[in-house]
Amino acid sequence: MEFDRFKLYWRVTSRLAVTVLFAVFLVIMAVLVNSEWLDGYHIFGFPLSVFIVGQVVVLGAIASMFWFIGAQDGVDNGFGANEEL
Amino acid sequence: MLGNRRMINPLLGVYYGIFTAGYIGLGVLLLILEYMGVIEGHISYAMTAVAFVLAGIIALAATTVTSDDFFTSGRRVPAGLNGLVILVVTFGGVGLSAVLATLFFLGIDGYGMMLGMLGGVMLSGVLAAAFIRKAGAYTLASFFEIRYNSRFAGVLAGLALLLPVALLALAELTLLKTVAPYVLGVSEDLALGAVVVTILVLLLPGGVRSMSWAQCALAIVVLLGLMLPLIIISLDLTNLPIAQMTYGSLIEDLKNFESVSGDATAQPVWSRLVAGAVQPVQLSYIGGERAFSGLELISMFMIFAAGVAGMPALLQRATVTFSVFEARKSFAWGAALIGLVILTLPAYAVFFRYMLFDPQLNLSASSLPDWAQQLTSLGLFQAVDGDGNGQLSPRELLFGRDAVLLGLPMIAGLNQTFQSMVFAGLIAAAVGGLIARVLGISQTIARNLNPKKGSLEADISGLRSMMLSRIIITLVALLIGGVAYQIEVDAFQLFIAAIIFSALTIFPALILSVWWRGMSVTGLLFLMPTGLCLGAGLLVLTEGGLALGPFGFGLFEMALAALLLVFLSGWLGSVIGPKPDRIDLETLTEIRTPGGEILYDRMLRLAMPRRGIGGGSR
Repeated sequence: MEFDRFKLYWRVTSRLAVTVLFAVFLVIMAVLVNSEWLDGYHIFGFPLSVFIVGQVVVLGAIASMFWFIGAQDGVDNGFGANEEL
Repeated sequence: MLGNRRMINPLLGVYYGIFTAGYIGLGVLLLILEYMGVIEGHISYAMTAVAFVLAGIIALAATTVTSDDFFTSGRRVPAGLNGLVILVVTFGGVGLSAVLATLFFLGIDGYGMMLGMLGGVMLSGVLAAAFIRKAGAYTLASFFEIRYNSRFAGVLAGLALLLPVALLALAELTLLKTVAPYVLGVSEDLALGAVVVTILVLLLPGGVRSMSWAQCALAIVVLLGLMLPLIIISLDLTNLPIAQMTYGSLIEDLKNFESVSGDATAQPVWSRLVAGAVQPVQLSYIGGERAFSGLELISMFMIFAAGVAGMPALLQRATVTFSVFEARKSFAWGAALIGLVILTLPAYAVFFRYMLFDPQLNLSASSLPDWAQQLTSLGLFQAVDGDGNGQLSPRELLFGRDAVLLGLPMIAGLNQTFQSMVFAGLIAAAVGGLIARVLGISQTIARNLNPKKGSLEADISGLRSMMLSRIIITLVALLIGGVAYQIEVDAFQLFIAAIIFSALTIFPALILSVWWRGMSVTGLLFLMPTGLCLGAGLLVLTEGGLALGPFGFGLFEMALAALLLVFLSGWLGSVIGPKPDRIDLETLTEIRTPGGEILYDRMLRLAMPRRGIGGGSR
C-alpha cells in the first residue's frame, strides 16, 4: 500500500477504534455514576439502574465489539490492506 | 516451520461437544448415585478429578515436536475456542471470586470492577490484538523487541511484565492453596504439590498448544460450574430457569428484607474485602449508602480496564489465531463469553442475599445449619450473636470473600454434586489462569531475558528452544509453588497489585508503541520504570488498597492520575531522546497493516539460511 493511502487507511482505522471505545466507555461511566436516580423505575421486573448497568450496557458492549470487527474488516477490504501472504 | 501451515481441525467443536456432554453426563450419574445413597462424601473430588484428568488427556494429546505448535499453537486456534481461553485467562479463579464478592458486599458499586474487566478485553481487542497478531512475536516482550528493532526494548519489557504476571500466578496459587485442600481432602502441602504437577502435565507436552486446548476444556468446566447450579436455584426462587433474566424480580423484595433487618455496624467494607476478612453484609444492593463516590467508581472501572488490557497472557491470545481478522474476532468472542459471566454473577449475589435476608431463614446461634458449618470449615463464615438473644439476624452473619461463589449451592440446599460442580469450576478457573501466567513467565525468561540469545536466535534452533522452554517451565512451576508455600498473602491483594502494575506499565507502553509514531526506545525507558515506581509507591501509600492515600484519595483514583503521568513520561522520553529511525517507522507501518507476512515469521525465515541452520524446527 502506498504511504499516502496508508495514512488515509490509518486515519479511518483510528477514528473507528476511538469512536467505538469512546461511545462504550462513556455510556458505562455515565451509567455507573448516575445509576442511583434510576432506582425508582422498573423494567422487566428489574430496577432500571440494575437493568441498564447489568444488562443493557453489557449486551451493548458485546454488540459494539462484533460491529467493530465487521466495520474494521470492511475498512481493511476497502483499502486492500488485508491480503494474507 | 513457516510453510505448510495446517488448517483448523474441523472436528474441534465435536471434541469439545463430547467433553461437555461427558462432563454433564458424569454430573447426572453422580446425582443419581447420590439420590440412591450409593455415594456420599467427597464427590467434589470426583468432579474436579475427572475435569482435570480429561484436561490432562487433552494436553497430552496435543503433544508436539514442532516449535510453531509449541509457541503459538500453530496459529490456528479458532476464534470461538480462543474466546473460551480469553474468558478463563481474563478472570482466573481470583478474578471470578473477587468480582462476585465485590458485587455481593458492595451491591451496585461492584459493577465498576466487573465492567472494567469487560472494558479491558474490549480495549485489548480494539487497540492491540490485530497489531500483536501481525507482529507475531511469541511473547509480549518480543513484540516490543520487534516494534523497536531493539533487544534492549525486549529485555526492558520482559523485566517490567514479569512482576504483574508473577503476582497473578501467586494470587491463583494462594486461592488454590485455600480451596483445593477442602475439595481434595488433603493437606495444604499435598494440594500445592498436586497443583504444580497439574501445571506440568498441562504445559510440558505441547506448550501453548496443550495449554490452549486444556484451557478450552477448563473454561467449559467453569461455565458449567457457574450456570448449572444457578438454573436449579433460579427455578426454585423465580420458577424460571434463566437466572440472568429473572434475578431482577427479587431485588424489590430484597430491598424490603434488607430495610427491616436493621443497620449493620459501619465498617470499611472495601478494606475488609481486600484484606480477606469476614464481614457482615452492610450495604444495600441498591439504594442507601454507597461504598464509592462517582470518581472512585470511574477510576476503578478505568484502572481495571487498563490492567486487564495490559495482561500479557490475554494479549498473547492474539498470536495463536489464523489471521488478523480472527484475532479481532477472538476478542469479540472473549467479550461475549465474559459478558455471559457478567450477566450471571449478579444473579449469584442477589440470590445469596435474598436467601440470607429472607425472614424465614431464622437461624439459631446454638445450632448452625449444615451450610454454615461447611463454610466455617473453609474459614469463610462466622456467626456473632451480638445482642445475645440466641437468634442470628442476617447482619450477625459474617462471610468471607469466597463464600458467595462456594456458599450459594450450600445455602440453597442443593445436592453435593452441584456444590462440587461449583468447586470444580472455581479450581478450573484458577488453574486455567495459572498455567497461562506460568507459561508467560517461562517464555519471557527463555527468550527475552536469556543473556546468551535474543528471541530470534532462540527460535532458530527449534528443538533446543522447546527443550529450554520445557526446562524453564518446570523450574518456574516449582519456584512459584515454593514461594506460594512460604508466603501468606491474600489473593485479592496480589490480584489488585498485579492489575495496578499492569495498568501502569504494560498498557501505556503498548498503546503508545502502536498508536504513536513518535514513541521511541527512550520513551519506553522512561515509561516502564516510572510505571513500576508509581505503582509500587501507590501500593505502599495505600497499604495495598486497604487505606486511603494522601488527601483522602483511594488507590484507584491515584492510579488513574498516575496513569496519565506514565503516559506523559513516555512522551517526554521520546521527545528528549533520539527520534525513531526510518526502520522503526517502517516496522510500525507494517505492524499497522493487517495484510502481508507475519513479521516474526519473516525475520525467522530470513535468519535461518543466513545462519546455516537448515531444517527449521520440525
